[in-house]
Amino acid sequence: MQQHIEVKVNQREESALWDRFRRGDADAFACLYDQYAFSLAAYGYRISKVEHLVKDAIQDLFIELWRSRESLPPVKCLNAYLFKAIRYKLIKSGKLKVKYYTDDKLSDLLSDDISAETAILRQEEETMTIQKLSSAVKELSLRQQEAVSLKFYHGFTNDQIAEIMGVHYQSATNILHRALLTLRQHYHLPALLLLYFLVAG
Amino acid sequence: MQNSETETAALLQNDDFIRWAISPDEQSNAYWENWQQQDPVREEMLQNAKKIVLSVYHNERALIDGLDKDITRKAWEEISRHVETRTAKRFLLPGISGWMKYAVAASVIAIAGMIFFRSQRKPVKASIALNAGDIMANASDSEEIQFSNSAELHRLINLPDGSRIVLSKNSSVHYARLFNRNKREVYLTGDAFFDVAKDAKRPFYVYSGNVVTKVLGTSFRIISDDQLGKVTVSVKTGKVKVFRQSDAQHQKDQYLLIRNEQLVFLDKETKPVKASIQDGSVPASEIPASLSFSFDEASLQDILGALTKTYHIDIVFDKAKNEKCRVTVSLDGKSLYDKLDLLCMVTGATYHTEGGKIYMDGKGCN
Repeated sequence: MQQHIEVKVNQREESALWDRFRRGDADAFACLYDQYAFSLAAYGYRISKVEHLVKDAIQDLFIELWRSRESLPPVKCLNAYLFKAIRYKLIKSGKLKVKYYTDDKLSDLLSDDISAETAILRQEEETMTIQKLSSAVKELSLRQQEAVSLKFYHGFTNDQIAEIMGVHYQSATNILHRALLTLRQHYHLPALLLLYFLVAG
Repeated sequence: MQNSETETAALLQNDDFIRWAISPDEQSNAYWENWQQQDPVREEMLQNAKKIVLSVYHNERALIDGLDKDITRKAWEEISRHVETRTAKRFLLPGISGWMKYAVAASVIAIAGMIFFRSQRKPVKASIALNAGDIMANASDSEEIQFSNSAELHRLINLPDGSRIVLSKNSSVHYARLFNRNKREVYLTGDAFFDVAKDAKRPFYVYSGNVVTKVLGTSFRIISDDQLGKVTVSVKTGKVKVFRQSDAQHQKDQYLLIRNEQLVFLDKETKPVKASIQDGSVPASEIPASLSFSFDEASLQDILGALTKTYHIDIVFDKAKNEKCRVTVSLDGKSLYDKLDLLCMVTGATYHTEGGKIYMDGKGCN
């Protein structure tokens, strides 16, 4: 599997960068920032919807990383490590809606705005799909939405999602399974998809 | 088709597949191209699975559309203030030009570094320990210094780069004490007149409310009212660029002001109004003539004491070792660092910055 080889190379570069940063290399630190800051911001914004909280969390996280660089451990998957950290920061700020933990259906945290992105997609044949999907996603609990976002937007594995969200592997798989079950009611995902999740879950 | 459906579902569980669908590259393209060619049913399967992944992906992307794309740059401005810029060794090497200058400078720095490392490591640590209260300063060179003026009519502040600020009553400024980063940055609340020392390589920024004034070397006045968001920038000499922090990327929202021009931001949102002002009517504060730094047979302690007093930076050195040193020198370099360079040239000493302080390593005199 070439895929695996490629991932390994990236990981090696990544951990080399991480090591340089831990030894106090400010350039490596800036490199790490450039590489991960935006996806961290996107994730933070997705779960908090409050931009200034995201900015504060990112600042706090990276300032703290720099200050404590010498005592940081080597990291296997840096991306997941940072996602977990930013999530922790947001929760610790105490301003992430409490609702979040109760797995409540739906949220007022999601905006109904039809973005430019969606507007363009609208002209394409998949418009209907997106619309249906978009309303379906809003039906998901915030926890489910987060897992879906991590999986299908950020490309994390179930393992990493469990790590980031601080749940067991099995729970992460269940969360994703339930999410797809809900999505299916609004959007005709092939039945097989669920079949697979049931089997795998 | 049961088999094919199961395989589609399997694809949706395949992390490599998902990664390829959302961010393909040459290698993964080749892999999946090869994969689908191995069996005719795979092509449709792949397309279906990809469609599902991408629709979730695009939906997710639309959900973060409202996020300010500039957020990471803004956050970095804050973060970079906390990242140490360790060595600020600069040497003045008159009379040597071109690449020689750099070669000499490089070797001087290398040697100075070694000497410093060998001989001065312990005393430096010891002097830090003496100022144990100053733990923050020890942590990085990014220590901020703040001046507030609540009593005097005007207060003169000498910045280490040779720039000067006349701070009006009920106003305050803060900046990184050592002032030795790539950008010279000052944060203003209230009213101040700036006389900025020329340094083309290090632009000078004044942040007041959400308005940024960028200059290379000039004099101007800023009056800001944080509550109303009103900011007035008036230029006395030279030229400055003014923009809102959020518009740093947009050329069209940046305003170039020249001598005797004024830009008024009435509040935090609306477009500013540009106006010209009568010659000589820029409310420039009186700036006293440059301070004299001429010393005749002075002790190192007196000289460094004068620098410390002017620029509000602690300079640590070994008093006992340098007790007998007498220096005659005229430190008329523009900035604190120019003055230190000159002083080092004369005395054969070296200096470096660490933890918001300057450490001077003299050879001592007999």
